[in-house]
Amino acid sequence: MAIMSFITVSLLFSLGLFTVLTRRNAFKTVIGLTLMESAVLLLLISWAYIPDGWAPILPLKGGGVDPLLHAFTLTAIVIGACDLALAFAFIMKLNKFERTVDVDVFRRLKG
Amino acid sequence: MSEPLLAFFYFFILVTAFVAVFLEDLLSSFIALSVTGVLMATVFALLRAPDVALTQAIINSGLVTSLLLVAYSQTRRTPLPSEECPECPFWLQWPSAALVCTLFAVFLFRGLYSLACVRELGSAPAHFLANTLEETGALNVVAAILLDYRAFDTLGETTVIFTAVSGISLLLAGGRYVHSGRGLSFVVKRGMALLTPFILLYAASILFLGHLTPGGGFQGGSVFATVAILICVVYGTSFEAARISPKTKETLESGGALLFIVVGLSGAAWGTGFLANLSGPFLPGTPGSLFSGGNMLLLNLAVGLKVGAGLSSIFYAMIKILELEGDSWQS
Repeated sequence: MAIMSFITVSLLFSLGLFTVLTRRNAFKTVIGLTLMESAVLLLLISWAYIPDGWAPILPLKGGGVDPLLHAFTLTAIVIGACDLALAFAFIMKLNKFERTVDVDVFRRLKG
Repeated sequence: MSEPLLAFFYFFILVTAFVAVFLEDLLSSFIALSVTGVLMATVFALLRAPDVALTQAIINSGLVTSLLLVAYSQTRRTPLPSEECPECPFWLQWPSAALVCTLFAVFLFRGLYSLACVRELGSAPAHFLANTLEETGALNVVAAILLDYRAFDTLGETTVIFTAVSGISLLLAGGRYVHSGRGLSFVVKRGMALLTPFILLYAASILFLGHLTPGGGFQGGSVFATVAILICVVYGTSFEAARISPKTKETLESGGALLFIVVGLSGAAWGTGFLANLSGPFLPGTPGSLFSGGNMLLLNLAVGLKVGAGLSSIFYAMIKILELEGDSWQS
């Protein structure tokens, strides 16, 4: 079970990294960032899982899974959504000046 | 939990992620990304994390997709030149990136593999599972961690949301509001009017039962924001702005932050510390009833107000520009 999750996490994360490295469309970069974030969330939740554990809602009928990692993941999801919204605002603002979403064109700060 | 089922979902997560990355059409890749989010939520539910599954389904695959679509519709796209750049040799383009990413995946897997062992609960999670009921009076351990044991973190998290909302409002300010769309057809408007009370009821049940069942302020607030977004889409922006003005949203957001601080300070005034729950002025109540868990109901309400108002004002700030006349505005 854990091995399967680890394979998925590594593939998903490197797929996101590949997208960020190669795609020139800013929206594709955001998609890559989302995939990397999803990989991290999946790693945390699969690490919190304990075989035959119960969901952390009391009363438990046996051992429970790790509730602390669930709380961390919840925080990460909300903050990730806010980050993505800010990224969209930046894309929209840059698009207004440059009329494109090609990240190679955004070079005004280049010295 | 059955492993073949989990393997099935993992496989389709990877397939939809590949589709989202390699499809040329942006709109289709957004939809594929949303499907990835829903599959992730299913996997979270299978891995016994109902709170996280609910949050993932509502926020990551619902709200983020709608924001993506708004940002997509707001941008002008000149056709991109082909992905190859003429100066650099071919091997330095995607093949080298693919090589780097493959090596990265291999080493990441090797590192994670060495972590694989028989998992046991650490001392802190075991303490939370064993003592949440006596120490906080809540039944949902994740909500108890978020709003009691680590409530200060949650205050910081709401500050992050506030910062994001401020940044987006600052970036997208200056567009003057010229005209509003008339919304969708009559049938959709009537249907939306019939549906709204039930969606609000759902949001309120998630919000106020957060200390008993999976859910809480973040998820309930996001569903409230979804109602505002739906009204925006179905009736047009000016209707939404007239009913729930941006000023009201600001007031609600500040009110949520103030409520959180006041609840925290009441513990300090009691003499037991900032955000003290049962050791402070709050009563545990009967476990399982609505009024239990001390200050958790109030804190869920505060977080819900903040998240709902914040996310709906993000959407409003983004869609406001869409409604403007093409090039008639400068900033």
